[in-house]
Amino acid sequence: MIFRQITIELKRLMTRPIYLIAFTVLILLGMGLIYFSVGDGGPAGPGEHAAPDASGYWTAWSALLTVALPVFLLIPVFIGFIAGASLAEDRHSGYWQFALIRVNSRLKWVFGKIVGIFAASFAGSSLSFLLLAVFSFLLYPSAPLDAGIVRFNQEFFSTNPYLYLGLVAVMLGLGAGTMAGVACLASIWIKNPYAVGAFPIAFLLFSIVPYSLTRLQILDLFSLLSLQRTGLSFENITFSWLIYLMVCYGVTIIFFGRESIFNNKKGASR
Amino acid sequence: MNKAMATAKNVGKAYGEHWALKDINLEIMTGEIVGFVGPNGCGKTTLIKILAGLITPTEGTINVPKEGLIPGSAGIGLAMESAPFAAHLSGYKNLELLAYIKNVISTNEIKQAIQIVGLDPGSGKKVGHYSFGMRQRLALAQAIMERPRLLLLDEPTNGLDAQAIIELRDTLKSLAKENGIAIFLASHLLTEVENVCDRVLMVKQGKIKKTFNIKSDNERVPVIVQTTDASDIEKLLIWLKAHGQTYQVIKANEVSIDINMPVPKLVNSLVQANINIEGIIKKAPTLEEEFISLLIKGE
Repeated sequence: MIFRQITIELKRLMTRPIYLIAFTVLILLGMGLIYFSVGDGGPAGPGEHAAPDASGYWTAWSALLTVALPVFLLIPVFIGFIAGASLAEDRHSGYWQFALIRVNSRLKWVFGKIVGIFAASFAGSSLSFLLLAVFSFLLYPSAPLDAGIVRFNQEFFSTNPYLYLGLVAVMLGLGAGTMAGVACLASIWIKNPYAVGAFPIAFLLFSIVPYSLTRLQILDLFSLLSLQRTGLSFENITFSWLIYLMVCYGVTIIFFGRESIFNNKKGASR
Repeated sequence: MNKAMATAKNVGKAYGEHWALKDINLEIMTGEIVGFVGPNGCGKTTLIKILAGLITPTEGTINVPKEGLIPGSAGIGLAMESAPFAAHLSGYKNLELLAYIKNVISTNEIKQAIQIVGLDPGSGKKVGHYSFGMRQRLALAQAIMERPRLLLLDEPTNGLDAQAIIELRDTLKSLAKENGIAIFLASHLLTEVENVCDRVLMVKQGKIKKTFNIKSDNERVPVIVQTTDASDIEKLLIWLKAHGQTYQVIKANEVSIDINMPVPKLVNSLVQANINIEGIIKKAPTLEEEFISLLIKGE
């Protein structure tokens, strides 16, 4: 039953117009950056479109992993924000009652719900990156390969560039899942779905303060999301995201698994 | 044989210091439609949520038996006042998703449920474009599609037009009588509750003030006998005393009698006793009158 519930949540979330619009807009934005920022794709001349590759050529790798980077930051934030607000929406609208009466367990319901939210964020984010990769490879040559265009795990990139892309997709997926998890966490205290949706953005912005004070890598959310820091590696990005995921989703399960969250007079009115 | 499909014993629910419900005792039998009326905030929705198992009572016990359920039945069907469906999906798609959680009914059964409530299962119209009444009907279809034995409805007629209300009334009666579904219905539309329910619980400040049996209470209502003139009243009073009837003189030629016999028999007896009768009125107090006297005036 739990798998069926997860499937339903995925279908509900990923067919929502706002999700599809965000997905399309982000893809188009990425495509635009890949296409227009690179110029004609030929040998780089002097000027603002100087090629990052050592050979002086723009490649699919450099176009994807350098000029499209701003979108990597936006994808997890927006996709995660839309999926993450779904828990608050269900609570606000009363849809949880339809599901809960069939699932017969609050814990199972919230577990199915947040796994669906995580899966929708992960899939949307990873898929948009992979589509941008396909677009980049359709436009530009895949060689020569220059490890200097990536900021971390350069050796791994040189030996397994396609696996590297796959892992970047996974990192972005985990980042989106975390942003959605932050929204889920906010749903415990905030009832308004819009406020809940905006919470990951606020969280991202305010993370600058603790990061500036502590310089802890785990608090440098901007670098973790945009994959823009030399000191990073797939291992420590994964570790950081897993910590966030466990905290956000764990606390959400604990709170939403308890009746008391629905048990106040205001909450009971729906 | 009628079985209790839901039993509440001394149920109470407190939100902090405030008791939303207190000392609720009730049984809902198979095929019975029980109404729950009261002013806003009297605990209607809270009781429905308790019966549905969505929230637990602070005190008392709820028993909704599982045995004897139709295989694959949802057990409980619930339609709340709000109808929170996914706006970007059609009515059918919404129900299909919900039905997939338990996965015990076929697509035909989903379509059938949609048809029962008067919607078109083949329509691709998105729920976001539904009227409020259509959403309410869809919520009812959602509640009945998995063949529940206990149906809990919170304000099901909200937003429905007159024709839809009549159709809903017929649907509920048919579900109760033909399928043996026990229905518990909370509403503020007293006329509708009176028309559809077998029994009505009147609630004020979380407590059941009176149980109004629509049929049996109506059978025991007093009749008002009007005589042609005052001399007939004297003969009537003598006759009433002789036959042990309880009565109350209202006017010079009008007496209210708590009869313990059918009205035709009373008429025959009075004619045989040579009492000239101008008219006989049998008027049960409506639910609205009961509501006003009990819950508003507090009599």
